[in-house]
Amino acid sequence: MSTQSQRFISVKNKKIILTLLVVPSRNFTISQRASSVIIYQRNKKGTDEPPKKLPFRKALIEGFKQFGPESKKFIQEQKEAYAFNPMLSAEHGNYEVLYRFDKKAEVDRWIVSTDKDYKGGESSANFTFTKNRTGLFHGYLCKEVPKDGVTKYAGYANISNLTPRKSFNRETHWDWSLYNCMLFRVRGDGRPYVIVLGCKFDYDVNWLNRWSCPLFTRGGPYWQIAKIPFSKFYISHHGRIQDRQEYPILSLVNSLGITVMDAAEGPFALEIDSISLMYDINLTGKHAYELYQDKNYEGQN
Amino acid sequence: MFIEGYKMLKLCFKKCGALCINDALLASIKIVADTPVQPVAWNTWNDKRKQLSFSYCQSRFYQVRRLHVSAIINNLKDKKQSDPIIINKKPEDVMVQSGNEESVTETERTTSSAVGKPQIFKQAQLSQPLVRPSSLPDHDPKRITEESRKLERKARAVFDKIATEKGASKPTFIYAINEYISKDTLYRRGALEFIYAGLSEMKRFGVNRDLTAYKALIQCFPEEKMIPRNVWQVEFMHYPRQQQCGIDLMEQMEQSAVIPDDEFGVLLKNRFGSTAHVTRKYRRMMYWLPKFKNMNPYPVPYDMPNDPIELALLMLKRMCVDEKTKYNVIKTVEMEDSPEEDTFIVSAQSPTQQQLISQHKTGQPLFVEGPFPVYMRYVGKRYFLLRGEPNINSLMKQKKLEEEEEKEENLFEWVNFYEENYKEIKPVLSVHEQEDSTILGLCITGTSTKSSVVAWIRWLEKSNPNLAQTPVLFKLISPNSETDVIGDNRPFTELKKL
Repeated sequence: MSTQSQRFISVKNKKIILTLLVVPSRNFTISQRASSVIIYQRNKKGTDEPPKKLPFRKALIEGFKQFGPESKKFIQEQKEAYAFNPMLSAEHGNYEVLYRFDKKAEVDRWIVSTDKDYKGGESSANFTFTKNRTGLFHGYLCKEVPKDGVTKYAGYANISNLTPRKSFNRETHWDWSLYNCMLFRVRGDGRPYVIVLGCKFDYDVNWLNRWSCPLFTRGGPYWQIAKIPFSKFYISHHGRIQDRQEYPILSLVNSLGITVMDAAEGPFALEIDSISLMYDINLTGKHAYELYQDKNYEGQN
Repeated sequence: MFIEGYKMLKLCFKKCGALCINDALLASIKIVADTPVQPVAWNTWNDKRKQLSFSYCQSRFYQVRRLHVSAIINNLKDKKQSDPIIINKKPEDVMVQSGNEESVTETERTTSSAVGKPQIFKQAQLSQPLVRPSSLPDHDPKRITEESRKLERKARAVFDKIATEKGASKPTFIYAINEYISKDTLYRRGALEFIYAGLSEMKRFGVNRDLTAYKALIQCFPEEKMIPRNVWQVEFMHYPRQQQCGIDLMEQMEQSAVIPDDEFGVLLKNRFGSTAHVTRKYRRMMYWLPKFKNMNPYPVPYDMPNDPIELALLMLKRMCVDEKTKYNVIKTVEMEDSPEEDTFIVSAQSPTQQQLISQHKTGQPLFVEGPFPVYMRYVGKRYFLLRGEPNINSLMKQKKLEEEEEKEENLFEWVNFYEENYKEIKPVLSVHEQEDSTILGLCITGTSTKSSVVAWIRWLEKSNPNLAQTPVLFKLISPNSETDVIGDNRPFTELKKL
């Protein structure tokens, strides 16, 4: 496409040629059928937007500005890595607090997203620091489907942590492989919420893999501690549960989210005190769902 | 000139389906502006006709229809109450059909959710019915022919007729399906359109959570005809539209929490074989859904009761941790001589909570907070609670002793039973004494108003004489303000810092 159009454009419009060269050909071959499947992913979100890039000059200036503090961070990291005494194994009852929302800065490390952000609904949500020194995930879940002719269902809100990063803005991940369950100290409103885990994968085929498990709340003013073993998490790709299940790759986890998307329309509120990891000797390391291969699911037969 | 052009275009479109006269109108305005004043030659029309080919028109039709609907809704939003509302509904709208009653309810539904104040527009909708959206899935417009539109209209007419004549209920829904099956015994023509129409009518007939209705609906497909005979047919989705229809049916089942059973599977297998995409979806559902069904540790009944008192009782039973909690249903009319309103109050209080109230110092106030939301499946209610300030001293003592126990220095320092000081024993706190508040009672009222909560407190004073002497503060949240957290643990955290 780009080579053909170059011939017809005069030298005056150099800028146009450049843009035509830059824009990938995919823009011209968007399939009209919503039911078609696209394996290629443009970004890690799975949307059709190109990844954001600063203009070269701005990026250069930004880079120079950040170089000093980032290299300090880098040196600090190296020092820590040298002095670090890693835990090699966990004993029964060992735990690690991932998030305790007793400071405002802790709450600010999470981002909120709803279907309204992607023009897929009208839900609104907020994650705020409360007077109880906890995080409150609250908002209004709206099931009204937008009239764009494609969207079938609407109504979700999600909070998730910012991707952990090392110095020089490099993406990194946590290593949870010592632990086998998660603990949530929460006070909910009776709705089921969903815990979503994501891992740092290199290839785009895996980018949209998520492990999820429901977090049931009882509602009312009493605090509850929910313990969710990692074996209960089931894998889904692009929101579709998969036939072939896998245990979550705990050494590569880099995103943790809480989603509300149940049937009831109305206000919701989930007060979160802390999120932690624990090793419990009574839980087996086996996956809760069958891992055998069933030829019927493969569709060959 | 305009009318002439329009007539010509209408002629043009008669040949290619005449589906999108709406679109043709738009096009004619453009074309007429471009062409000279003299009557247009047939040849030029022919060229234009080629451009606006049948498939193009069909895809444009959906876009225009969407725009049309959104324009009407925007129009409604902008108009004030006094203004006469004119909806630019063109007579060419091909999809307009069916009785008035149905379309009125449809418009009510759409506008009440879209606009904040639906009652303003009610009158206008009564006179001008909106376009009812097609039940056929929108995502593949090229595949939908005029023939299938006709069949859809026919299928909808069957449901409309039976709903108006015999009323919308489960037996009439099954009757409508039987009527279709008895008429189309051999070829089952239009089974797909009939199923899609049925799926969209299910809520109206109140059968969207009924497995037998889905079973009846899937039986519209003919047996044995669509079973694939080799691997290629299986992988290339033999009878794709029919299979997609089956998948859509099961997706609706998923959405309305209906789990299929073996009988449903047999019905599917007789129609699509055991290897088709539909049957694969069925197997997946049979694997996952029963697993998720029993996952909730705080179980919810499948059918929620219609009685609000029963519902409130269920919700309170789910919320209260204390097993000794006593639940009381109070009617304000029976309780007081001249009540402000006639509602019910469902109260939950345990003997421990009563004891806590009796121990409470009468100088310090108690608080009534609420309403906070609670949900059970798709039903939401609001509850109030009576709480006191947290029991800081004993909470602190408990925390301190717990921390000391965990210290490694004290791990091997055993205290003899006879040497132990009774003051060093960890205080035993009830479940109600939390860091942010001591919870003294819960209630759900019929109206969630302040007067009903005041009545609840008055009722509590009978069983808790101490409550009559203590000041009670009402911290009620207005429905417009943002939800707030329960209680306040600042005094506790400040003490912890010291």
